[in-house]
Amino acid sequence: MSSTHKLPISRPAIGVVGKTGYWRLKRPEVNYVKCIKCGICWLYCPDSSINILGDPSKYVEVDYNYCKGCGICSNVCPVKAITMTEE
Amino acid sequence: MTAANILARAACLAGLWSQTYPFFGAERRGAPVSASVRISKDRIRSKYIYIQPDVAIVLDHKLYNPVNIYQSVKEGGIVIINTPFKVVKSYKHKVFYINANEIARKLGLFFAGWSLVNMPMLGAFSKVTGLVGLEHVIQSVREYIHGELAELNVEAVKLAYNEVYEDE
Amino acid sequence: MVIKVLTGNYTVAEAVRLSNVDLITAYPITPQTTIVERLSELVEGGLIKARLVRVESEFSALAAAYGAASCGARAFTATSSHGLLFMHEMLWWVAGSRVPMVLAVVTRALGPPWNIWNEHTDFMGQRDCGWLMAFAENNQEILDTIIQLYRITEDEAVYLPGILGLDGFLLSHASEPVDIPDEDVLKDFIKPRSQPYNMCSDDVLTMGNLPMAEEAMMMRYDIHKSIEAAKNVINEVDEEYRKLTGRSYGGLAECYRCNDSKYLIIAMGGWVGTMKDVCDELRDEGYDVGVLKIRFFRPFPHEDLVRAISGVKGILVFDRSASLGSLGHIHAEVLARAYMLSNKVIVKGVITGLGGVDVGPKEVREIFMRFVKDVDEDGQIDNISEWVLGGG
Repeated sequence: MSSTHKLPISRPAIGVVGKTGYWRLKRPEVNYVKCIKCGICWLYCPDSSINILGDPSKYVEVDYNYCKGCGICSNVCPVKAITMTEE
Repeated sequence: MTAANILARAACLAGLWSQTYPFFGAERRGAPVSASVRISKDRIRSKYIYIQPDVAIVLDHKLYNPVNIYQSVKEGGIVIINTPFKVVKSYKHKVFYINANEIARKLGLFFAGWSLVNMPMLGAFSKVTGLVGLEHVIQSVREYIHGELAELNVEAVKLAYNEVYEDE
Repeated sequence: MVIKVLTGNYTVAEAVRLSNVDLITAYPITPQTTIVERLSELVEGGLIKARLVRVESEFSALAAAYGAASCGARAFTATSSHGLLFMHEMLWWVAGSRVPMVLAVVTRALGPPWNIWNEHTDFMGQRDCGWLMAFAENNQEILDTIIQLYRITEDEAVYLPGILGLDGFLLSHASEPVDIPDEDVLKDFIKPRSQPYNMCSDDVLTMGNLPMAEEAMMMRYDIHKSIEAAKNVINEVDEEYRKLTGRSYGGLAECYRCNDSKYLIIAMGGWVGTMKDVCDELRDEGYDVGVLKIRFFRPFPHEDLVRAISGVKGILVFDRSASLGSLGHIHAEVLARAYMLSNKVIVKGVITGLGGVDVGPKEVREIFMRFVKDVDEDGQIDNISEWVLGGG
């Protein structure tokens, strides 16, 4: 990009408006016994706040620094392994 | 439209400027349509569809309506009609006849049951007006139509060139 | 160099062939259809090394061309009338994201009532999208302007898409001789594809993310400035093209016999040729009249207009489109500039030729003579914007 124009272009960056995790009212908790390691929660998370660790005992991990607690992961989980709990 | 384009190209080969316009309404095979061609020594700049022609080429005598045709063509202009017999005379125009259906039948120029009469009419036009030479029409036909069909059409152009006759 | 007798639409296809286009999207609509038909023949015959994508709607036609263009392809599509209106939202996306490409618009009336004939309303409906908007007078200009438009739109001072308008049937289906330059002649004129960023590069980008209000306005302002900057580019490219082919069109506007003219006719599109012929006749009869052809509607040739109208007594603007409840589109532009300059000049607008109404030399002459009579005898006009309906 060498243009001098004002372009409608941006690059993805982590935390441009700070740690948004404090906006959260409810917190997703993963039950790793129930988790079948499908990765659907990771795919659906609108804020990229679920990371895949690949660990046999802890396949995914929620990044609570940025998770706003929307609850989509809990909703899409096919085995109901994610529950939303009060902060 | 094909005939108009071939005539325009022939005029171009003869070193003239040319311009064609279609007149659609219902452009279907068998429906009455018209196309116009302007030919000039100089570049034609004007762009409009209405035309009072010097020459009218009527491809089918069944479409021939003396009121429409003779009123639209300039006085003293030329009307060339594809017909097996003579039709109503005009005292204000020179009228020429050619039986292009017969030429198409002789050469087997048919498409989907319709005889192809547009090419012979260009041969008649060349003879009657002298605006574009027979050789230019033939070259233009060969550019637009390819293979065996091209030669049949060239033959049709030549036959019509020789057979067209004036109303006495 | 070779002279071919081509319809306006086939000329568009030839221009696309000469412009080294990479991607063409095709969706039919009368009177545009024969452009993409011809292009698909050229692609199939190996005469154009481009991908031709058949899409399911005009919206997709522009969306697919836009996607490819944002990833580095030189893209082309064409449409008319209702198809253009269906594309309308995508036009804003292409211009707003600063992706250069070229769209041919074969102008046609809008329904209802159903009408396939020529008027400029569909073209004018895209006025504010941020596209450069050119219009051709004849088939030769169609060829030359499309080739020029790829250069102009891909210039780094511009980086905006461009529309070429051509009159439906009047140009699109009318044949006339067209001088086709050899590829060798254009070898240095046709540059490699250039654009401000590439969405398919390794640099991960987001396009169109939510900005702050001030940034959003700044982006809009940048498009405005770039369209203004395109004026120089258009003139330079036209001049460079003249050196190669001997043909140029005055850049944004062509002034035909308008030096020292007392009356000025202003118009855009195919009927300008007719008006030039009428102008010659009127000059022979002693009327000091000239014709200003609007070649680019966006950017609007304000500078050319100001030059042309200084010292003029009466201006007659022909519009083939109308902003209903207001004026003809070109008339409104001319009025705004003319009255900034002087409040003495009389500017009359004539809206005619809509729905395919044929306007020939007879009609142009009649309208002009009536205008001259009003200006010379009465010193004023009764009707600033007159609809001339045609049909006798």
